[in-house]
Amino acid sequence: MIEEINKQGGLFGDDEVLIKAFQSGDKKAFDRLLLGHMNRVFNLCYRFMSDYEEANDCAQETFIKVYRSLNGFKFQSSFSTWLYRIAVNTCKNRLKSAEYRNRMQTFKIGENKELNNNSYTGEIADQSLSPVTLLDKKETEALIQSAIDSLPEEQKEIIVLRDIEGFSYEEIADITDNELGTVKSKLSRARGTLKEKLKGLI
Amino acid sequence: MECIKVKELLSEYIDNVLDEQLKKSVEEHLLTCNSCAEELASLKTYLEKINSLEKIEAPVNFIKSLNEKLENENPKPQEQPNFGPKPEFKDTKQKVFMPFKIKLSFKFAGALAMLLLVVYIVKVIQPSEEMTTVIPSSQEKIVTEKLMDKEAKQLALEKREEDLSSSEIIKGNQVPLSLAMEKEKTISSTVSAAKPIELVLLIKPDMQVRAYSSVRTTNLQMKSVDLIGKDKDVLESGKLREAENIGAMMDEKNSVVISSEIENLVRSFGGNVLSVKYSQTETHVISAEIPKDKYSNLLKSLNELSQFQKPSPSVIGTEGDSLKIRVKLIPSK
Repeated sequence: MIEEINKQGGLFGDDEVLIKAFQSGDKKAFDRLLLGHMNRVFNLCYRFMSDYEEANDCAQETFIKVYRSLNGFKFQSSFSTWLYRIAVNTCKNRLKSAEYRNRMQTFKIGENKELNNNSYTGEIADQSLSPVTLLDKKETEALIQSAIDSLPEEQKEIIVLRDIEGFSYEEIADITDNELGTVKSKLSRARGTLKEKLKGLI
Repeated sequence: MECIKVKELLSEYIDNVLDEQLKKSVEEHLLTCNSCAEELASLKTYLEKINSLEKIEAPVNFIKSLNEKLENENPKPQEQPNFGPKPEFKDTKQKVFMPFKIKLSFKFAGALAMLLLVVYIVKVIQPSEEMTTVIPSSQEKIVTEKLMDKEAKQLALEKREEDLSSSEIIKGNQVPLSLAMEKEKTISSTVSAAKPIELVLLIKPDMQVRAYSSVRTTNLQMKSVDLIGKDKDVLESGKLREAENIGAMMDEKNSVVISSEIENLVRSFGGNVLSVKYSQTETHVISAEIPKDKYSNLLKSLNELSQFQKPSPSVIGTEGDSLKIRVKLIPSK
């Protein structure tokens, strides 16, 4: 599964060829480049932000930044690493922004009522879940997503990159600007934390 | 290997990134440790769950919406990517280390440097060399003349200084008159032009009042007295409108009164009045001759009587021990 995900980039042609075409003035090459990475970037943003609209905004912002900077891209790192670094940083900045915090605060006040109606509680690990088989797939996904969302930012980042997007340890080290050993230890700890949060499901 | 160490490595083991030796050690431990084996099983389940998450796709209009934003935001595709050195720093670095666009050959650069050196020597160093050069006897006369010229220039400079110090007297009467007079004496001993000293005096308003009161009514006198307090400021600022009222009332008779006081002063200092021109206009001129040593005392007395508009001590004519002066008397308006 992970290996398949890794091959998603560049579906609409070789990234390098498309970038060089764009740098030569072929602006339509950007659309083809975009098609090759758009959904993966969007999914990463969604898992990071836990909100479709926020994910859409972050993904759009990511590609706007890429478009503006692509002429200066020198192929010193892989385009994929560069692109996802921009995406991760955009999401992290968005999470820190006052606008996002205000919005989420407003949202959560309304959301709590809905959760109570559905017999959900805020803490996933402590709640008494029904057997997994009885849960709707959507509900399971929502619980997993909530668990991911409740992780500290650093752990969320590494879980999304490795366990959801399937980047290699080396790529994660490049994207997050960490040492390989740090990536390994952080991932082990993040997985432990998330596994604990999903205790009822596993 | 201990359980705690194995549990730490399980994440890497499941991702198959452990080296062979560690992998073997972990596998051996898992065969004998149920707790760690369970941990591995739960980790696998966790990964299955995570991997089963739906891939959320971008909305259908994602590219259209993005293109609209790019068009609206006036894209700047020339910017540098946001990794690596910051664009501003990179630009500065490139500018600093950028080779010169204008290429100069070494020959041309050398010629240019020589030219600058020659100009520097001629324009800057040459004058000091002239001062230190040993003067041949045949040129001694010329040099002496040059030195005399310099002395004359120096004197002219001193004279200019005198003018400046004298102008201070007019402004505020703050510079002691005697000081200015001492300088005049120095100059008079060196300059032998036979031009009379010209003094232009503004008759002080109180003197005008004094003169005026002898012929006018008390009512008018009161008006004039009111104006005395303002006189200093009025005169200093050059706005003589108030004083003008008094000056306009001054008739020939009054001028004669002031003129006769000056004539008396000249005589009291041992001088002779050579001529007195009374005019129907504002200016009255007294020409006189006065002993040189009494000149400064005369100026002090004149300063009490009137205000100096133009002391002009720059050229002082001398004939023996006496000075010729010409005093112009102007009502202060």
